Amino acid sequence: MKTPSQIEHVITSELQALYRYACYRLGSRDVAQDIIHELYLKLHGLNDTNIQNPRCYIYRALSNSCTQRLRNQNKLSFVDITALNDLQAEDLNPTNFEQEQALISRLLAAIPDEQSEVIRLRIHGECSFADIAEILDIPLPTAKSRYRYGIEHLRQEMQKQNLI
Amino acid sequence: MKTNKQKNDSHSFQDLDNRIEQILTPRFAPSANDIKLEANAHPSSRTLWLNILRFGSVAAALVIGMFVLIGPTNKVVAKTPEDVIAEALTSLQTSDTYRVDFQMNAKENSDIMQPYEIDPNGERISGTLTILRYEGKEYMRIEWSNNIVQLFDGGQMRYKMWRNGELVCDMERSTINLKLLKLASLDDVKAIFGNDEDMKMQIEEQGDNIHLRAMIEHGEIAGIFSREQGKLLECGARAIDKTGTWKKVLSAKIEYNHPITVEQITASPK
Repeated sequence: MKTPSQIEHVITSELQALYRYACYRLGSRDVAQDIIHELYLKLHGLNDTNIQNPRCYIYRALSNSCTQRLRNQNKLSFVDITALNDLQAEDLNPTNFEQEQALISRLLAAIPDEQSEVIRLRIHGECSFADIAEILDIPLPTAKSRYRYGIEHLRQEMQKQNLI
Repeated sequence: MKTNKQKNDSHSFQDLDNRIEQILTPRFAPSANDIKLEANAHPSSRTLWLNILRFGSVAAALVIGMFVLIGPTNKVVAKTPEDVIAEALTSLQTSDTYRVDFQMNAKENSDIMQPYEIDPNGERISGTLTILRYEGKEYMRIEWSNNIVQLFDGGQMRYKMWRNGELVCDMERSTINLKLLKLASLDDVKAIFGNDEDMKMQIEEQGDNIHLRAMIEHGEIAGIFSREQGKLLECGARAIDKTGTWKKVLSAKIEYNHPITVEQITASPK
């Protein structure tokens, strides 16, 4: 019987975090499942002996797949400076996935993509900053500062609107 | 050295940043328990549905292509043909039930999930595709004229196929979703036609009807929309066969609000 590769093992053990990342990135359970399944089929049986960090490799592949899917759907955009307009205090207490996903998407649309992606990987993918730096191919201090600037920016915007 | 005020501000900002992180942390994330990863010979659910498109519901391919190329507008002026088409496509996507009667040129396929694939040189075959969305579940049934019946049962999460009334396949599908209307990318549409050429669009109005044609070098899809009803009524496709002749490979007629229940759509054929 064939032993599962490192890649397969990591996908299986990290499935919940990978799925969560994809769900909130793409805004759809169905599309997220498709992307995860496609990723598995693509990476299944891959000779991964030269891949030093399979977890980072998988997240990088997943991040790229999500970006490509959003690009195909014309859903990639520049920073939406109006994203937080009309946001109400009650919107901050979602009661289901759809409401929560909509809220998180609105918040992350208000900051640059490079910051929101670090936040997604950190919070939704539960990646360490060292992993994020490797996934995005950026220095470790840059990964940390992008996260900090993103959170600060959101805090300032929400303070302006008396939401927090 | 930091003053007390600076220290308080710093703490206050830290609390607020924590609150932001808390808001961004999912509490209602869907569970991955339903995802079954199988690297078997069967296509992924997405591929499966994409293939269903090929031979069962090319109407949807037309829909997708047009939806991608045109897209809804927010104009409040008199409706343009593009507005009517966009409205029709939205109507099709949100319709709880509809039925597509189709005829197509196809050849047999050995894959149990894909009994036929469209082929300009294939035999003429007809069928009926029925879609039902009920209580958040989606069902699709395809009845072929030669007594093959396929059922994608979103309630039981199963795929079934019968030949001459005998059940020949009954298998679990980890994801069954009617993705045929969700493949909203031009790349997917082009993949259906097996090339990456640019598609040309032509729109003509004839009375209440709007005729739309989308052309590529080796194929063409066309649809007839009703301005008054705001619906796609018929669609079809032509392709070039191996002798270089244009052949009609598909024609389909759509009936909306087709009355059907879950019991009826999932019933075993008699």
